[in-house]
Amino acid sequence: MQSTISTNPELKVRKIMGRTYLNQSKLEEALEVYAGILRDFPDDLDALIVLGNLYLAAGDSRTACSVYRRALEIDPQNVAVSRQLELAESEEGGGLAEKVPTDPAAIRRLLQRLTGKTGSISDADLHQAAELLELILHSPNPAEQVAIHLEEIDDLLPALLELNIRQAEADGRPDLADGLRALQDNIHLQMQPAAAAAIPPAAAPRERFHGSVLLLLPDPAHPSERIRLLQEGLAGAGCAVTLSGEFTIQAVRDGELPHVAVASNPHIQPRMLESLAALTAANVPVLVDLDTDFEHMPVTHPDYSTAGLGSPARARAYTAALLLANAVTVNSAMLAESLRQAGHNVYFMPDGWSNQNLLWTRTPQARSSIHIGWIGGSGAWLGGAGQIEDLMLVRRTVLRILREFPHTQLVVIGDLQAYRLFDSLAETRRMYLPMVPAEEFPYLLGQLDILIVPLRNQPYASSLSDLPLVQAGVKGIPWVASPITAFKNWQAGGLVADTPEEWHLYLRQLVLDAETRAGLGQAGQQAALKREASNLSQGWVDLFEQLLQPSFSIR
Amino acid sequence: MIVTYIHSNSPSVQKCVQTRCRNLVSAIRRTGWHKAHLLDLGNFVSNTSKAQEICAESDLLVVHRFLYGPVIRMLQSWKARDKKVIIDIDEAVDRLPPESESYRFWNEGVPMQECPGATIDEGQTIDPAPIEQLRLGLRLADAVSVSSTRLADDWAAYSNILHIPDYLNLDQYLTVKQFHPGEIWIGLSTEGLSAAVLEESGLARALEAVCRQRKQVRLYWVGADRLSADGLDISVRQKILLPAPGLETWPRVLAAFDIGLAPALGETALRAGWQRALEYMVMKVPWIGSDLPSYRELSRFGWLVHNSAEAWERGLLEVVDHLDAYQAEAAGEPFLFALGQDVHENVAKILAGYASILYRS
Repeated sequence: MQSTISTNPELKVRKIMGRTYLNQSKLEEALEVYAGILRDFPDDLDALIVLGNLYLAAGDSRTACSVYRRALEIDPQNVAVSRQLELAESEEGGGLAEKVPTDPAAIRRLLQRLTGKTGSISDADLHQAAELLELILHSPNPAEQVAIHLEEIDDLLPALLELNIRQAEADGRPDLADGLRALQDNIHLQMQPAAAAAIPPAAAPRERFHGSVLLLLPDPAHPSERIRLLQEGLAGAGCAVTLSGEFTIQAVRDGELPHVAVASNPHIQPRMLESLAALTAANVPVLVDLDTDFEHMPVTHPDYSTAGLGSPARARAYTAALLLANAVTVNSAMLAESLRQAGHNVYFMPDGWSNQNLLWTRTPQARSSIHIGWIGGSGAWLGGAGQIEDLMLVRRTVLRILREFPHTQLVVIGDLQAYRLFDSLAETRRMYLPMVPAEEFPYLLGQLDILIVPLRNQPYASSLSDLPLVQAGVKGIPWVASPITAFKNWQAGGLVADTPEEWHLYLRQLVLDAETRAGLGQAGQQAALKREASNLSQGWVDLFEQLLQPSFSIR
Repeated sequence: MIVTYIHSNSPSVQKCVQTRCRNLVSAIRRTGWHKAHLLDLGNFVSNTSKAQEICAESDLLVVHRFLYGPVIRMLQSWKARDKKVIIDIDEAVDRLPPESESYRFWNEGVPMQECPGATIDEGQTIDPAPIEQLRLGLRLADAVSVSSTRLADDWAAYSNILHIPDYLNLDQYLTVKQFHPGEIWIGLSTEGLSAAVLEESGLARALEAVCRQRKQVRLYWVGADRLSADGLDISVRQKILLPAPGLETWPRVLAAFDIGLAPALGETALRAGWQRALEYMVMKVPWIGSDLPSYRELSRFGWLVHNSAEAWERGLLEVVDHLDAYQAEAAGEPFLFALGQDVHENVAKILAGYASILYRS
């Protein structure tokens, strides 16, 4: 669908919020957003299309038609809208179209339909309820009338409430009307017929893999955060996990064979190739896990000297490891695609976080200023966070924002040189926080209110993991980031900015609007839940099961 | 409340550690309601089991002066665990003169003795310089406690300020006064002083003049190993030289002073605390000091002079010639005021200040 390109930053952000809510199935919030957009911008095509689609999904094809027709008045050549109109017209039948589709009452009715609340009250019920009410009120003995008509009252309760709701609205008592409406909804729920179909008995759960897994690491004493999470997730899934720097033939003789081996960045320690060879010889499936795009790692990267492929030994080890592997796992879909095109059997196993670290759920202290933060430095667990050259892309924009909004502060984490880029700012307007060990990183993130992740347009950046955004999501921090594939795919909880103007617009919007920050933060938190270690481990277990199938062979 | 004071073991700052850390620990413990610990920087940055146990138990960590690299990293770790952090600054480390003992550490990153965590090779320096790291690190402190109002002004931009003046632990000053019939001992501790300060303040010339004019005067030079008195044109008979005493023996040395001197010069002195004069007052020693903000609050308890040889000479001669009267005066109001600056008397105020930081929302 062609969407209207809007230069109104507020409208753009509202649409992003609406899309976010829809993705999270928060229909009420989404409807509120889109109805609000149409009240303020009645000719907004995107909002009209979404509303039309929702009416159609709710079975109200007549209203959907009226909305689509309105959209076609704005964009007569819009093929998608025409198709939707045709679909709605083919389903047309019964009921009147809403006079004002964006009216709160209409939206309420739409929401009721979409969420399955079928408590529509017929005119006949309303008439009967009104008569009963009249009878009771004018009876010389109202209590007697109530007793006589108890069963009828029970059946007509929703209608009786509806009468009272309408009276409350007419009397200008929206609070009373809302309360009665909530009661009405409850009663509707209780009056729902029992589920039509019997729920079939749950299928017996299949046996999942919970064998032994060897994690082969260049430095077993200091596993990366990715490996640590994997270890934790697999242990939680019932696997026996061992960390080691090597695997020898002796282990085979001693019968200490793992079911599966995962070698993390084995090229960093070329001697690990011997272990891979021994594992292969022992018919143990081997996964090579790469947490960085080493092939495109720039020479200026802090880890290049220890992990880059500039060294012939490491380059050879890298190639050999990929050849020895039954499968390769990576933390970025782009990197997976790139390796797949090179002929490797690659799986995208995303990065995540662990709720065992209570710092992730700790709420930071309230503060009076808005902290705009950038994270520098290396560390594989940062997903390859930015370098100073990346920050240079947005330096002027950030300075502009800080000058415009005195209640903002810049927080630079992990790169003192980058901090010094902002020496023109008073020391009260900026803060430098040194990097901390991985387990304390959530504390650092908690010092931020908005995270910026600018990245240069280069091959290495395009293969980076979405981990910075996931981590920001866990802490409910909205973000503005460059449009690399991983960030665009993640989407939740922030705004992707392509140009300096967009960077400025979005940062400005986030600084100005606390509600948008909160909404995006919540969206990010929701999305981040699926990256919790225990959820991610299922993907790994699935992969192990696949590798262990007798039919699986790749080498 | 449980407070841990994190301090350096560097010999050059032990007097300050005594005043800013040990005395407060003693006072807090004596309340019976609160707890306090001392932890040296070495244990803290190495995160030894002792450090972990102490810091985990504490509500508040107070770091005396040395906020740099490894200390900042550990403080972040404890802040992540909801500890509050106060940095205690009792010296204008950002305005040290080049001849100062710690200048090269703060400004050039040359490690000091007992400078823990700076695991660097011989000849290397701490980079960035500790003074820069201090400024950066202050932003993550919950408050900065300072010993003077001028220091409060300097650091207010970085964090919340607590003004905690230098207090004395009177228990340490319970010693008998020494008398020197026929002699007048003018005492000067060289701690924190340099030859430049003595020269440029005019005190050196004034002492020479007074010794020439008053033969009963003896210059009691404490800390001759730190700063030589050879440059003074004073006869050997009129000089009594003593190496720098330990913290425990200092009060006995002080008890031998008939007149105490408190010269101060320069930006650092402007921001210094009033401890030197306070010590004279608690020992009932009449004193003469430089007319600087550090001592102005105490001006009615001693003689303040402008930093010139003539002013110092006039002040010294006045006190020497009327010593009995000044000693009687020193035993009155100045002594009573000093008693009021006992750390145990003021611990409630200190704890209230800490509580305001701990429970700040």
